[in-house]
Amino acid sequence: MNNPSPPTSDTLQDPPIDHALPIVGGKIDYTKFLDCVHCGLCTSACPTYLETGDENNSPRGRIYLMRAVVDERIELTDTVQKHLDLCLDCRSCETACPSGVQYGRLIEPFRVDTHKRDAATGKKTGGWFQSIFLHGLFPYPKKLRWALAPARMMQDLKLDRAIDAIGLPKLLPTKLRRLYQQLPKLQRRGKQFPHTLPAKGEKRARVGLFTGCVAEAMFSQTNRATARVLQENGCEVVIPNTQGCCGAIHYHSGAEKPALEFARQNAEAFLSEDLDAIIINVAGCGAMLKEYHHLAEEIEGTDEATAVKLSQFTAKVQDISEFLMELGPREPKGEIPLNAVYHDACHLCHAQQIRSQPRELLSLIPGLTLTPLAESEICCGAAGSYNLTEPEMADRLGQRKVKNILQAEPEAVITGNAGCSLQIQAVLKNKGEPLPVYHPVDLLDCSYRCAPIEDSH
Amino acid sequence: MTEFSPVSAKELARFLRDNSKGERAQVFPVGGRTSLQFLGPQQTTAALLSTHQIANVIDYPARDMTITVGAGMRTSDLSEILANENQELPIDISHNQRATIGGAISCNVSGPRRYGQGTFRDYLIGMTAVDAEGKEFHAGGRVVKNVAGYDLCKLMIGSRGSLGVLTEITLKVKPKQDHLEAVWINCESFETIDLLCEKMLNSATRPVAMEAFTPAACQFVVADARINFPTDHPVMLVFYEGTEKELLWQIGMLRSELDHPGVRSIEEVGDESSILLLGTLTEFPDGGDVPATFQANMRPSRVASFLEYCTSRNISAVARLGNGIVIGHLPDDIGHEAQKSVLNELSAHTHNDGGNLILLNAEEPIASELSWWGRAEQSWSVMKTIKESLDPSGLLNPGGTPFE
Amino acid sequence: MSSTTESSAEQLIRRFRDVVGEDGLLYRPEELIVYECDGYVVEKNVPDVVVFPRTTAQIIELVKICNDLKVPFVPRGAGTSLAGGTLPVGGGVMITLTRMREILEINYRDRYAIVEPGLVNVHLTQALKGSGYHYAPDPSSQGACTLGGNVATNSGGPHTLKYGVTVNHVLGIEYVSPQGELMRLGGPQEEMPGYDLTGMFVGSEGTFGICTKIWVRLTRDPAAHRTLLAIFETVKDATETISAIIGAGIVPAALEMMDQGIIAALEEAFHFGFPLDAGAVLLIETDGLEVSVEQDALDIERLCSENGAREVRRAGTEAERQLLWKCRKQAFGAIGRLSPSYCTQDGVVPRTKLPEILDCITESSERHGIRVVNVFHAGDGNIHPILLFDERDPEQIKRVMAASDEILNRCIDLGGSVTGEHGIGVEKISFMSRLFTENDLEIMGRIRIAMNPTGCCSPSKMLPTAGACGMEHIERSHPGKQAHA
Repeated sequence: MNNPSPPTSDTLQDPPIDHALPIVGGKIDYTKFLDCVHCGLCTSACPTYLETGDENNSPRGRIYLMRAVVDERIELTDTVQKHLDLCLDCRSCETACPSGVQYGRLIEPFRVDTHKRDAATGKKTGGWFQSIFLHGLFPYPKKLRWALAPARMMQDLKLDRAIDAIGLPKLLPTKLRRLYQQLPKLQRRGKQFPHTLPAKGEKRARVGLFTGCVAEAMFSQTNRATARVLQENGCEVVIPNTQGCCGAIHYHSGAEKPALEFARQNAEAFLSEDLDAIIINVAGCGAMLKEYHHLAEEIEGTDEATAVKLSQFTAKVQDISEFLMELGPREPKGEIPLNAVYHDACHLCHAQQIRSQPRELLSLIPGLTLTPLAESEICCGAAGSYNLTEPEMADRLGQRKVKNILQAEPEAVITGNAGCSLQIQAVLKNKGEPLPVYHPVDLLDCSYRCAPIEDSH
Repeated sequence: MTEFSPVSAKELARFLRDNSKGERAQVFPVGGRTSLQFLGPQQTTAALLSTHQIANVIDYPARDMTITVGAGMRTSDLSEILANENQELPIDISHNQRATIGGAISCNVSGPRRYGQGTFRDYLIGMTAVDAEGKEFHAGGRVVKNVAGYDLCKLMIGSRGSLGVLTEITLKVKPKQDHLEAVWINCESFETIDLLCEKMLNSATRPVAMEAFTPAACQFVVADARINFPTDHPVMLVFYEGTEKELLWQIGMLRSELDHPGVRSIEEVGDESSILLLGTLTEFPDGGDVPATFQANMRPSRVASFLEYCTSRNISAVARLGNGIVIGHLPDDIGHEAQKSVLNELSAHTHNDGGNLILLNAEEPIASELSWWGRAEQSWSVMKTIKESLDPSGLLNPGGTPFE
Repeated sequence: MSSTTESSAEQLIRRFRDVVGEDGLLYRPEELIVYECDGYVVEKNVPDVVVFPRTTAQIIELVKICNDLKVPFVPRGAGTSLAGGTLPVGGGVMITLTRMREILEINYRDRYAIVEPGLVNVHLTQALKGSGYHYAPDPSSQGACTLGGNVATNSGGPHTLKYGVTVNHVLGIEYVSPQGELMRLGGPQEEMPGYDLTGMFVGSEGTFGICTKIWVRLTRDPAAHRTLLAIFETVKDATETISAIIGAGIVPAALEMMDQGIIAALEEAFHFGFPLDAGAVLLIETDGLEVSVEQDALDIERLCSENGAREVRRAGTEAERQLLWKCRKQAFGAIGRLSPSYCTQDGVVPRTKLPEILDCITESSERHGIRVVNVFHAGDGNIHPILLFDERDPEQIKRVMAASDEILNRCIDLGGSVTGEHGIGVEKISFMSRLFTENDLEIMGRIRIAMNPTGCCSPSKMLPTAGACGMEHIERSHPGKQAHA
């Protein structure tokens, strides 16, 4: 018999609801559900709906599911869980929504609640991979750098190619293999930042630079470039060494206490300085930093003083492109003859509504042309650690993105988020189309320095 | 043939009701009877039911740009009424002194300007009709946007009175254009015309009509419209409508866009002659006593080669270049067998591309030996079902539809 | 594993699985509830199965199975209907077409494209970008709604004033008949002999079968446009201006009106810089040749001023134009700031009757104590009054229903209709007998039976008496809140 047996009335029946545990999502402000008028305009903005065509995998559908769980119309079964887990949290739906539904403020607390329930019921989630890599290693740039050192040495010695060739990576557990395949060309670690870097020319602002964890380990040169570009634009740059991970990985996987801890640590690190702005060059971290004040609202028992601090911190956070365009960038002179496409990182265009600024900055660079990219605002599948937790959908979206990129026939891809860079680079490499992927400041920095782009990394 | 011309929709309905309950005679609804010859070898016994006396203006709120009239109104009268408000129904209707609006809709008449202005599908927004049993029904309304119920208006367009008799029509109308100007483009070959069509796809101008003729048609057109232009090569005609300023700009632009070695000359036809020319092209399907007139429907990209073939067979043909419609008259000096074989070749030509060739008019023996409606389509079975559900006894215009 | 005790639902699922695989099916209750309603949330019903075919051949198989088992089925696209067009009345099978979304051909030379029904409207627009051509119908929901759905409801949009609705842009349709036969109507050739069944299929709300392929006409992009925003002291001045513009022989590409309530909400949300005391604004777009749009714009500016416009602004750049359109398109999103719930109606009146219907709306609003704000396609006479209320108060709900019915009935009395673009669906079904005579409905009923003899395809839609397969029509009891497309 080829087919699994059809569901019987038994399997179709809802299991009894256990009232001993609090309802998942029960503490979410119910009016946030009511904001959704079920018009469906969000559906086609959602990458997972675009791929599957199933409304259970659309923002409207997920809101319907979460609300039904809260209303106790349905149980949070594995099936429902699967649909909610498939959400990239890319916030594309918030851009599309005419009614201003704050989808992120529904799915994120709902996920936190789910993790809490799982912890309480002893349900296994994440497992060794989450605890060792996502929580134990990723947030700590030094540890991560050490862990990555062998990989970089292999790359330097071109050993990685040999390893690929004999198929050794296939012996790794799936998630580790994906992690291995995601590795970019690792950069030599940049010089340790001093606490303060002076402004060039007339001083126009004093800013803090958030260097991040994965970013500092894998893209330390982009951080150096960001600092130089800021200096070039008359900014004194402060890099507090007490800053930590933004906490997004924890928060999005439901570990809210460590997330709040990181938030507090970062607020303290930067608020002790007298800063005009806090600059971030990674879209994902930026979105998280800009939402710290929601953490205080959503995490029970957060004291008032912390809430105030987080709000003060949030108010100062700006993406590098957003900040430069507001400040008025100095004109870069160095020519970079390059035909590139710009991919809108979800956490830049949807979560932070930053679209024009990076493009405007890039348009200042002599010789650089931007070719329009189809579906530039559709997620590439990276979505933080999503490509490790939902590999199948991440692959589909990665392929979709790369197909669009290759159609535009560019010489390079530009994007303002570390995760997108990793994902796009990996898929391109897999396809045998290894286009370089740059951060806008990589190119801006080269242009200011009149250096060739090969120097960007 | 008996004929009845009711003076009101009510009388018309009574006639049909009595008929359906009484002798159940076959009925052939007519308007101005201008398309009779296009209707195939059919009813000689059916009673004519003419709507031409139902011709009143029912409502004309000019600022709503809609008009509701009796279906029997002459199309020239309709034009005049609309012109008083500086409006028009921009559909070219032949024999407009005799044709009725109901008849024109039933035959889905159109002319050169369908390229830029559309067809009845784009203008008929409401209608009242009477079915074979004398029951009045209506669809649509007097508003330009309405999606309530099935759109029976669309069903009635081109149905040739086979589903019901139109009594009242509501049309969307447009502001009247100030001027019409045609540009006569004398080309080296049909290949050049094909190339120009491609260029026109991205023209900065917006023509309302694009026509082309075979040399045989060209001689007729020049004579009929009383104009004097070269006819020795394939001709393409482009029409513009609008203000003087718009025409001036577009014609200038067209000249620069069509700068091509295959173009022998580009000449402006002039205001008055352009109107005459449009009239000539509108009336073209009525070929008088030619042995057969056909309409070939194809994709626009196939027209130029089709015209070339027509030329080789000395067919007088006019093409709506942008719409893929070619209307042709067969020469009368080649004998019936040759005429039939030419028609068969033309049919094969259009059918190969999924198109169709229908006869608009034909003498015997062509009329009875060739398929009047061209190749049968799968959708004809659906049409038949619809016909049977609205006119189960087959009283209305028997034989006037392709699927019978 | 089939057995003698297999229920019909089990049999359905088993046979469907053979056609589309497990991945193409939903049957668990907690996944089905997402499909219990569309953009119209007043009435709900859970389908028994949702199925996602990827090919036309699969649809034929699915429909045949439904016929075998005498199960009703209803097609669904993106589920953005505002009239319950995809509500599975009586349960049964929902055939969701969102996995059939390819553009099969774009032919510029012959000015058509062939698309699958699940293609999102805006995706076609994006594919045509830069070619000089576009697909004209642009419902405000175009970012999500599918072309199959557009065909079913004959969708409109802000630019229908000049460019017409969906039916004016559809050349041909391929569909699977309710009996499971593959049929083809029309095609890339503009004119074919016989009845215009393509024209009638458009707007048939899924009751004639399941559309599997659409031939659409491509329209040349306008060479130039001018976008204006005129601010008026009163709604009356604004409506008179509309008449004056049309009377002057200018047909703008779009002519949209927003009243004070909307302006205030928009201003709060987006800070466009509107004067809060303005009675109404008109958003007017004229397009055509560069040589003529400037004159049109000047004429429109003059007519606005003559009719009491306080100010006329003109978009100087594409960015400013986008901003003006944003304020129109986001209007509904801003309503959330005025009220916890709202419902919108879709009446149409002859353009010159706009002042009368607006008076009626004001009166109804006062009589029933329900606040109403207006944003609508003024050029087409297509009104969208938005009734504001709190859905937690059943008494208010009753008053909203009463006011809505009053407004729609008045539309009929003024020679209009109860739906300009949303369709009848299940929502407006009770108005059909007011709009149409018994004869009209009987003729429509006959056509439906001709096209859909068993009534199993989209039962209980559009016609009050239709559908052998479906259950009784659910009584309207609750206006719900809706976003408008």
